[in-house]
Parts: sequence; structure tokens; C-alpha cells
Amino acid sequence: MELFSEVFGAYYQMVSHLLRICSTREMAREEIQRAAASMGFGESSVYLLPKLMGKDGWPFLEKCPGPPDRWKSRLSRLPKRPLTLLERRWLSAVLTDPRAPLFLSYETLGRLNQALEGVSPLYIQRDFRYFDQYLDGDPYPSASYQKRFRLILSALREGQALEITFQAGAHGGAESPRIHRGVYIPLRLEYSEKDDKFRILCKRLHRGRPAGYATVNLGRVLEASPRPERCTSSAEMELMGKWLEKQKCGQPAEVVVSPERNGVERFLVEFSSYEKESWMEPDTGRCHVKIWYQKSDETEVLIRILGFGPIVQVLGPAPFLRQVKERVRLQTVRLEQTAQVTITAKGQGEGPIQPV
Amino acid sequence: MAFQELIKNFDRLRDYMRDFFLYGYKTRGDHPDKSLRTYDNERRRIESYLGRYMRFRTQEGGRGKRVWLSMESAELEHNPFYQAYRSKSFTDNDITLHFFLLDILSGSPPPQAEGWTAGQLADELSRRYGLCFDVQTLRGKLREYESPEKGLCIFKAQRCGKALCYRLAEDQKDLSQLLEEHREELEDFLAFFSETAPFGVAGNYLMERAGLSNPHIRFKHHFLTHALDDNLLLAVTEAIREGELLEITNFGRRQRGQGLGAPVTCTGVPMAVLVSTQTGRRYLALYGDKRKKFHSFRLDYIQSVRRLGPCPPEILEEVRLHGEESLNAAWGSAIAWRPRRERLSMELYIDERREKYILQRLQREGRGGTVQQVGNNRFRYSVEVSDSNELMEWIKTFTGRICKLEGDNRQVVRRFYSDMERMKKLYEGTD
Repeated sequence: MELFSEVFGAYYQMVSHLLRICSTREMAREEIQRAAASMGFGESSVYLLPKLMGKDGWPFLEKCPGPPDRWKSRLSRLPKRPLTLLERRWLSAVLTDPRAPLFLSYETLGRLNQALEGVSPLYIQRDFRYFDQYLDGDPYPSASYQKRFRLILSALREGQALEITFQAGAHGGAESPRIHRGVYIPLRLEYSEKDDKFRILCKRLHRGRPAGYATVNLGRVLEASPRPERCTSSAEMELMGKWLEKQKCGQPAEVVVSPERNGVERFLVEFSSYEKESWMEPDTGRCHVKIWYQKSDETEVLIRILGFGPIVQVLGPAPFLRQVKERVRLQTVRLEQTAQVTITAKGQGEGPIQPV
Repeated sequence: MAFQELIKNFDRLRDYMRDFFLYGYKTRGDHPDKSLRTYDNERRRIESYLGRYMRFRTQEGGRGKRVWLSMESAELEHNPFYQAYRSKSFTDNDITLHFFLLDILSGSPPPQAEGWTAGQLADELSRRYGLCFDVQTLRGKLREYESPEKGLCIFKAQRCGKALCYRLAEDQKDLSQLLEEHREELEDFLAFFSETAPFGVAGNYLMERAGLSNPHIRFKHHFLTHALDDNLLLAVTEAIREGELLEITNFGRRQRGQGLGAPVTCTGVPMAVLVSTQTGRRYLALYGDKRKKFHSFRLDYIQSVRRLGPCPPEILEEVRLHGEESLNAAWGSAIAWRPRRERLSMELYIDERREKYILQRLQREGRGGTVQQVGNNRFRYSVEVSDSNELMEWIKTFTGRICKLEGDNRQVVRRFYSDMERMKKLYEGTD
């Protein structure tokens, strides 16, 4: 079994695409060139065109008689590439994933399972242990969660508004959970493997007018029902893209990572999902890294950097550095207080520490 | 030899792609184990596959040019590294036979019910297209497309007298039709799993075949380089499933640290693939049959794997017996054979009225540890694991709240207090 096969390769796809067009109509050289350039790798057309139209190349195309130069396919009924065993086995494996029913109806799932009968799955879920995934992931097996998920996904596809009732997060010290209700147009579904949760990025409507964007955790949605309002997807996506661009941090977090305890490698791998730039101090082996992140992720970035302890030093920007310093200062105070309490309370039991 | 855009072997490309993406600080001169020409060719290839993500900058101090791949995974429609899997080289015969054989087998009625023999196909290629192929070459290609070894199975063979006859495999027709009928439903399904499931590139192939895109879903905390190890991982999961012994060639941190250190090999029984969704690392948990202990090998450090055939049943039984216990006792990837347990507890300051989310963090991230209120706004998190050193990165994410850390492993506790002291000095007076 191989993942790396020429059958799935870019050149085979390009040839297949061109042959399909050339079997219905004749194509000019420039047209073939444009199609090859749009599909392949950066230099593919340089290699591909002599092979397709040269004398000692591949015999797929033939030149039509008379000027101007036009080409047609020698193959008449090229079928789609049949599904390979690799693809079937992969499908068979993902159908056993507890998240599969979120995207497919039970009827489709049943028909797919039937069509894949006897195909052994490419892997088994329990062979993969996600050992640090958060424990409060979304409740995928819940029938009501699945129903809400499919409704939201369908609204996302159709650009339809929904009235959504959801439970707000635990921030802000509210004693009882706050319930929000509003009209939202889902624009994007987001999944985090670490959180094991889905979120939807929505456009909020207030009395039928746009009222900003919001992110709602799907696991917190209590009710959702369709509304008549709709949006045209492409225009909304453009607006959302601009909004998302504004949500990025103004200045990147700048850190210097020491090579101690394999720090550079650990840090760069852990932060590889962020856009970043790095350079190495040649003499010390210390690595300078700039990380760009969404403003809403700032606390997460901050605590993950703190997790590296003294191996990573934050250099800036100033507001970010201030937060780090404040946490380190508080930490120092907490440990000093504990030490004092332990000394003064010897033989009397340990008393609580007052907040700083 | 002239530069070729396509490659025969994935491994070298895998190393360079990881270097450009993860480290990004290396210049041409920072690859001492490779010739400059090799570097130039690999760089040119990666630029050809992923040019839009490539960035260049003169190294600080003017020492060469840094080249790196810059991507924010949460904004991507697909994993760009899947492009690398589309770069396998092939011969003129390979591509010619691929399309002409598909053309003949899909349309023309076969000479007999069982299909076409290699000889008949050679005649048909000559008659219809004027192409001359010897029967031996044809047989090779037909076998390759028929056998499960390469994972294709798009042709089916049936014996007809002494000869083997080939036709297009029909058993995937229903499935093909289903994929067409449920395109819309399947678009999001495939888009999601091609990024989150193991071997997602197979899903990406399916999407490309069906002309599907991913307009709706994005992925946060998404470690793109995992895709580069999937080719090798396939042999690992097959070996786990078949209960086989595996030989791995590893070029780990220890070997890399020795300058021109050589890779080491290890044989054993593969147990599971351990995936860290936070640090981006994946490991192979393997019971070494020689040293009789568990190892966890970073997948991205493994250079090659070789399946050695069935594992003796007594070893398999022993591993099954103790493996689960060992995996459950580990906090992360450090797995011990019949593990001892180390206790660790930390006391945290948490404003119980305003900071309930911190308590929730302990519950969801604490991997089975217990949380107990021990005073006014003071909570104790306790856990027993096989190696408490593995917790330290997580513990330090609570910097600013930790009142006390205690544990059986004194070295770990001492290092924590020393780290906090160093942090204090690091940020003291740097306003």
C-alpha cells in the first residue's frame, strides 16, 4: 500500500483534465499552456508541453489538419480514474469515526457502508491515542447535537440565517450560566483537534441589519431554527476575510528561545500552526522567533509561552511583555507567601493565603 | 543530470520541507551533510510545489539567505504538504499505458467474458492507436494495477484457461456512483476528514478526483507536517493490525546531537501511535523485543520502517497484557514497562467566584487528576503518573497562580522552583 504514487500525481491529473477537454473540442496551444499552468506545479508546463505536443512525447493528442494549430484527444471515452483500494480503505476507516454522522445522514452512511462491505479499514481508531486532547470535547454521539450540527451546516451551505440560543462561557464570574439568543448567519465552521470542539463564525443580525461577527461554540448551542434572512456567500466571505484580517495582532509576539532542553526544536514544532519567522544567533544557538496570532488567542499564546519557563524569553511587544511580567511577578509573590506561611505556621497548620 | 521537478523518493523531500517549514532559520550553508547542489535542487522543487508560501530574507548579520515556508494553518483550505505527494516521477510508458489501458478497458467490449489478455491488449493498442508495447511490459503494468500491494486494485484479473484476463474493477462502481449522487453532503465530509483523519491525503485524492473543494471548514491547532510522516506511518499501522514485528531506523535527537551521528535501528512490536494535539509531536509506541522495554519514537525522526513478519504469540500476549496499563499510566509519551507511579500535586490560587474557568481548565486538561479545595480561593490538583517530568510544561502554563508544588520526584520539584527563580531574574528590571 502506497500513498506516494504517480497515479495520484499532479501530471496525471493535468493530462486527464486536458484529455477530457480535448475529447469534446479542439484546443489551441496557448489554451493547453494556460490549463497546464493553472493546474500543475510552478514549472510543470515547461516539462509537460513538449511531452504533450512534441514529436517524441506522449501520444495522447493529435494535431488537427490545417492552420491554426489545434489539438484534439486520441482517446474517445476517458473515464474518471477508478477509485483505488487506498481510497476505499481510507473511506472505510473514516466512516467508523464518531464524527462521521455529523456530516452524513444515516441513510448515506448506510449506503456507503454497504458499498464498502468487505473493504478492510486503512487504520483502526484505537491505534491512535490522542493523549492530551481536552476532555470536554463536543458530544458527537448525542442525537440532539448531531441534529443541530446538520442544521447549522446546511445553513452554512445555503447562506441562511438561524435563530440561535446558546449558553455563554464561564468568563466574567457569572454565578449562573448566561443564555444568549440572536439571529446569526453561519459563515465558517472551525474545528480544533486540541479542544476537540467545533465553533461557528457567524455574522450577527440585529433587526435584520448586520451587527458584527460572533464565534459560537457548537457544543453550547441549545436551540437553532431557520430564519428567512439569507446572504450571498461570496460577498460575505470577502467581508469576513477583511474582518478576520483586522482580528490579527497588530505586532507579533517576539521571543528568544534558548537551546537548553531541546527548547528551539520543541518551541518551533509546538508553534508551527502559527505564522512565524525565525532566525538564529550564530554564536549562542539562541533562536529569535516572531509569532503572528489572532487577538482572541492572545491568552493561549501567552500561557503556552510561559509553559516553556525560562527557556523562552519574551522580548515584546510591550503590552504582551507587560502581561508576562505581571504573571511572573504574581508567581514570585505566591511562592514567597507560601514560604512565609509555612515558616510561621509550623506546628499550627497551614492557613489560607489572601489574594494579592 | 538536469533538474527534474518530479522525484522518485519521498524521504529527502520530507526532510527539506520540514526544515523550511518548522525551523525556517537555516541558510544554504546550514545543511552541511548535503551538497550545495542537492540543496539547490530540493529548494527549487519545494518552490515549484509551494511557491506561494515560500519566503526569503537575508540572514541577520549578512550570513546567507534564509528560506522558509510561511503558513497560518487556521486560514488554509487544504494542507499544502499534500502537494508533495503528487510529485512522484514516472516513465513515458507508465503514463501512456495508464490512459490508453483505461480507455480500452472502460469502453471496448472484451474479446471474452473474463476480459482482455495482455496479448490482446497489446494488439488492440497497436490496431487502434499504432502503439507498440511488448507483452511483458503490459503484464507488469496490469499486475501493478490489479494487485493490492500498491493499493490500486483498479483492474481485476480472472483466469481464462492458461491466460489471465483483465477488466476494470467493478466493485467500486456503486461507490463511485454514490459519491457523485451525494456530492454536496460528501464535500464537507471529505474536506473535514482529509485534514483531521490519519492519512488525510487519501481523502484529498478523493476530493480532487471528484472536483470538490473546501469552502466551509477551517482547522485550528492544525499540525501540517504530520502529513509528511504519513507515508511511513502506513507500514506502522499495517504492522499493528497484523501483529507483526517492525524494524525502525531512527535518527533521533541523541544521534543528531552527535554532529555526524548515525541512525540507530530497533526492532519490536508496535503498539499504538501517540498523538499530541498540543505540542504537534507524534510517537510510535513500540515494545523493544531485545531490551524488553517500551520505547516511544518521534515519528518525524524515524527514517524508515520495515515489516519483519508475524511476532511470536507469547511476546504479543505479554505486550497486550501490560501495554494498556503502561499507556494509561503515562501523562504523555514516556511509557514505562510495568510503570511505577509518581505523585505530583500543585496548589493554585483561583478566585472561586470570578475564575471558574480555571477550575474548568484543570478538569479538561488535567488528564484524570483530581481537584480539591484546600482553602479560601486555594485548590489542589493531584495526579499520579509514570513520569512527572512530563507535566512540567503544562504546570508552568499556570504561572502566576502556583502556590506550591510537591511530588515524589524531588528532582522535578527542585527544577520547577529553580525555573521560577530564573523566570524572576529573567524579567526583573527589564522595563
